[in-house]
Amino acid sequence: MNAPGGPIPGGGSTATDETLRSRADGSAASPPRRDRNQQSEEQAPQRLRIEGVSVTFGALKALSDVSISVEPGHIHAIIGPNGAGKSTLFNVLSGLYSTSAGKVWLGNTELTSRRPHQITELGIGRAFQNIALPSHATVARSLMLGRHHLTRAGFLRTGLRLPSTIREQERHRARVREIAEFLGLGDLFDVEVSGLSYGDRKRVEVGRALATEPRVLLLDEPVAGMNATESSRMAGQLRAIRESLGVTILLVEHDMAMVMAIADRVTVLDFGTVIASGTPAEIQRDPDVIRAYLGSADGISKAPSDAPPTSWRDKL
Amino acid sequence: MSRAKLPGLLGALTSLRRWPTVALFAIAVVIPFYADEFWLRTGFAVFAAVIGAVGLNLLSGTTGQLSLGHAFFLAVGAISYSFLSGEGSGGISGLGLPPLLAMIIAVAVSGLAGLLFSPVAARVRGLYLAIASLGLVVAGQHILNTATPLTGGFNGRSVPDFSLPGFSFSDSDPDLTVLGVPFGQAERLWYLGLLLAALSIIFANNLLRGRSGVALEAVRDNPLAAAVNGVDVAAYRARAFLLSSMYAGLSGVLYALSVGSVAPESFTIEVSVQYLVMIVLGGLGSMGGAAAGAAFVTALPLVLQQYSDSLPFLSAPGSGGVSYADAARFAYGAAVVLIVLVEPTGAAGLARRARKHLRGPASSSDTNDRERKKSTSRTSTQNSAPMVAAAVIAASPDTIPEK
Repeated sequence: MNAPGGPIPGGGSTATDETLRSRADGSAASPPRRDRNQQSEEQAPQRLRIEGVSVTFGALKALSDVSISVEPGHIHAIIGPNGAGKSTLFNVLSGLYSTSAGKVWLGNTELTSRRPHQITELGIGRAFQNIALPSHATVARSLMLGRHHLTRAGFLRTGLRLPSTIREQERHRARVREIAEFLGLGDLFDVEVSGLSYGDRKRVEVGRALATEPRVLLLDEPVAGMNATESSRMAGQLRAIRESLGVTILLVEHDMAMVMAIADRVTVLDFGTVIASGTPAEIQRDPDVIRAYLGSADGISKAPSDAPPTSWRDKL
Repeated sequence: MSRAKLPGLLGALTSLRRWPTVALFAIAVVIPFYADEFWLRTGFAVFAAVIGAVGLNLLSGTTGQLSLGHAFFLAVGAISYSFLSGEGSGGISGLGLPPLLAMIIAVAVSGLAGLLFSPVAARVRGLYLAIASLGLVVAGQHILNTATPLTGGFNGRSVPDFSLPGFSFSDSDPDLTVLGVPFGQAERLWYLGLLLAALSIIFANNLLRGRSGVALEAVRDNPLAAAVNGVDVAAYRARAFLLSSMYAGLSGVLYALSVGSVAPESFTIEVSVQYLVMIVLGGLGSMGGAAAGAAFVTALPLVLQQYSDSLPFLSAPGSGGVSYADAARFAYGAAVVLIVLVEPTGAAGLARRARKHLRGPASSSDTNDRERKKSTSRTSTQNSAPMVAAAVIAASPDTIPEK
């Protein structure tokens, strides 16, 4: 897959991607897809549907009538200027915000009425933009949090360290190690997270979301703040996640080159509404999108930006 | 990091295989053969406090939920035990149950009290729980003073000795001499306290290492990330509160046994504050640290009292000078300020530093770098230490009743 939007900053994209893929496929063995729950049979791929979702904070409409359909197995990017409502949308999807109108479905299951941990159980994993890892824990322990809903030991069993509890722990630790190796974190498995580089911590964040065995993975700016090498490595790993685990990926990302390189579909949000949706090539030609980014400046510099507005002009 | 493969208690014991722990335990086992009764009674009071401090540490240190209601649950445990095992007389009632059964039920009752309050504990975060739980102590004081048949009212009630079937924790019945040392009440209680405190610490440490600990720490460090990774944040806050109140209940039972009588003044807000002081001094989130903090805060006034005649500057209570109780408060007040300024991770942090120095400066710059990162990484507990200290200072009453 070539990057149509120009070279990924600072790196020959295709060459790096090839090495990444071989790395993901070869040296670090792809973890086989596991049943999410032993009791439930492997279900058909499920579409994530966002139907007419609106979110208001007082007088502010953060999202108005947003509808997006995310096909199973796709890498679907949500882009838009700062303040467009991307993070709000993610918070709706993971159950942290409630909607004032509209619903979200995963397959035939409604997500909007559920609490965050129930949504995780249904198969939505999420990695945060600002790394939300416990700083004093090792990579292994950080990833084990993702196994929480797949494990059962309660206070009593954990406190007594019953044999069944230890076995459960060992089993899931082995699986978590596979995930760490898949993401190239195998050597860092027992290292404290605080000692890792920024890029590694970002990957631990993604790894923790993967450890929940999601059907849909929500990634909030997975390459923000990464250098060119780190971000092209991440791009390769996202493809590998999709291809070998069959996980649907919905990502918010400011790095246009990366979005155009790896996304199957792109949805553009501006001022809380969907202004365009389509393939990367279609999006790049869309006059509304060009206007949103290049046209009136008021659409660009609203919120305090973590990525400077000029980068949008450069990258589109 | 060694992972124990052995199941159950055995595995737990090997998980604490580090020699200082074992050495400390061994010393504790032989102490009754050498120490006099004062030290054994002090030790039993310390063991009681250790259990309470470990319980509070699970809630405040590990889960990040500050509680000033700990004294209330200590009271529930102490009063329940006295009521269940005591015989009624003179307007004070009692059920006369076997003491072991009374102890178990007392812990369960404390848990029930914690369960009743847990809907509140589940919904408020951090410092707000401290304020909400303050109400428990105020209500508890009122109940202790007025529910005379249950609590003995203002003057309190006496506490029956503990006993197991066929074995009384008193000076006789049966008379017991081990290796030439007569085992009276103090010796017997010492071992009871040691056993229960050790089990409490082991249970808490197991909890921390396993699934529950991962979830509880996630709730403390970042509740949103915990929720999105599948942790029911409210349920875990409630469960931590429930467990903490059960620990407090057991601690209360032992406290009652150690003092021999329970009265409202033993369960004031100052006691809650003392427990917070213990876990701050020991290091939030560290169970060994909590035990050390409990030993310091509990033993200091008792030791100063014992030796007040031979210590300069100390004068008898009420004579206008600095009494032993004042001196102890000054000492641990100063210790809290020092700890928060110098080593916010408490005694546990100091121990970590000491271990590092013991390993010697031979370590390469690489490991030094990693250690530095480790020490800067304790931010989550570091940040809460000043918060706890602030709560301690804010909640400290100006006048504290003399015991």
